[in-house]
Amino acid sequence: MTRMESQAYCLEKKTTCFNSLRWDFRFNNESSTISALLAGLANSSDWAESIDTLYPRLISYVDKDKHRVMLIPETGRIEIRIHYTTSLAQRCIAASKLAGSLSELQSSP
Amino acid sequence: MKLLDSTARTCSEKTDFMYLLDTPVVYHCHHFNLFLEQTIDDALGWEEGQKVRFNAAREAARQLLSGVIKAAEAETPAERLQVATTLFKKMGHGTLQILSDYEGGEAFGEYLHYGYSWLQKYGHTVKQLHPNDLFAAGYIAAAVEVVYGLEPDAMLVTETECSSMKAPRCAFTVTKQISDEPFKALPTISKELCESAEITFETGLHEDKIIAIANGLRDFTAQVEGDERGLVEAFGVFVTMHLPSYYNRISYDTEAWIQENRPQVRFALTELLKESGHVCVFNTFGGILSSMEWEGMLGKPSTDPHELLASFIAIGRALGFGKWTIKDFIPGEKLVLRTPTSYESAYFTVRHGESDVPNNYFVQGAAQAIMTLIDDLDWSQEIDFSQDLYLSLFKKGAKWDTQETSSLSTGAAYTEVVVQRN
Repeated sequence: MTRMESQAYCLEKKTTCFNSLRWDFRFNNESSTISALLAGLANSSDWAESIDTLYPRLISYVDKDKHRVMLIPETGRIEIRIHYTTSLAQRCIAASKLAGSLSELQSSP
Repeated sequence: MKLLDSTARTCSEKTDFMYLLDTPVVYHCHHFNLFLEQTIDDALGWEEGQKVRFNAAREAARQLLSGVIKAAEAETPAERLQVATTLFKKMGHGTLQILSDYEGGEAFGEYLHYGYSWLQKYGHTVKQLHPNDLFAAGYIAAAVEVVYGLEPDAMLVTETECSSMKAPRCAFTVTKQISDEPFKALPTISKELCESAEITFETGLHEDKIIAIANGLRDFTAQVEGDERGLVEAFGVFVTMHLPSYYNRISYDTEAWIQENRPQVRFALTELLKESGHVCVFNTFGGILSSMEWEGMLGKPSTDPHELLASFIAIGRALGFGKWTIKDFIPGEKLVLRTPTSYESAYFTVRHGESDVPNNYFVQGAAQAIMTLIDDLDWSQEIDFSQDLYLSLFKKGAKWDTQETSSLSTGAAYTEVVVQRN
């Protein structure tokens, strides 16, 4: 599967050299915003911010399984990175789960 | 015992080479590494190819490990072996466990760069017929030799199980190598040698921009080291800090063997060595430019061909490939890439003397690929650096004529590659 679409978001597999590790994430709903997602991530105990001063525009969060979500507020780009030790069969499932949880985080008060 | 810290890696402003202590190093991705190894095996056959790769790895790793183990002031063999395996991991080559003394023994590997990345790239479609961690095997041999103060060709290491063949981990046997001929030491390429050479540098186009981007990327790569498994996943590729002497020896030894034994295929070999430059630029340079990290550092890639070219050249410098400069550039028509330093010529001239022909194959391929990516892709859109795109760009016939018009290998003051529309 290369693309998953729901009412709330679109998740699209990027063609990199690894199978199913990187996914572009976009909100389908105009009312959904990257700033709301950032606030949701900051308040979530499931995600920890990974700070890297080399990239002033880039914000990165990592979860307990070492999956990442990377965001560039300036351009609105959001990428989900599945950790490479995740088995091939589980990568799409993991990406889908993360996309769902990002969508929920964005809409949580 | 002192393990290497961040000061061990240095980047030269003079040459734009990179060093780990006294040994030249570069960054290359698994696409390039696997492609080059396949090229060697295709040219020589697996039996001869694995010998060439093992010997090159052992020699290159010995140079590196001699310096690193000495600097670590490790006292016991166990400590010295730990220095070697820690370094291997930091460089992104995977996790090694070496259980050998000067009489021999065994070693094990997990997440080894070549085997693991082969499995990731090809494992679902191709069956691997031979173990392919010859770099690790050579590294293990060098480690045992250096740790126990043995002669440079004292140990032979054979990979008996390989993760690319779906084994749960890689396994190696370490034995004494019985050689009929006395070991003949060959000159090595050191930091001192590279940095003491006089170079002729002429400022090219967009130099300030290139320097600024290259410095930013070096700050990034300074942080890059293997994770707990010993792998570096960055820019959508597995990255290694690697030894140019290894690449050079396998390439030029293979070319020499082919010239002597099968001269009719030399052209095909050199074309493949040039293609390694395409593979590198497409995957690593393309991966860097389209990455979140690049966008986070510098914003989206420019659509201006001049700015794009400056970015490509800066990436080449930051990866340790040499002082690439833009002598001339007419978008869509012509690129003249000039460099007073190249890791290919630095090796070739020391080991083989002056060449009769220009032989910076990697630089030739890289220059052509840079021109291709700038001219053929729409940089205002998101670009998917897929295998299909690679094939559509590089397998549809020669759009560009590429010539190395001046070569450090033939004694010239610089290497110059001219890429022009056919």
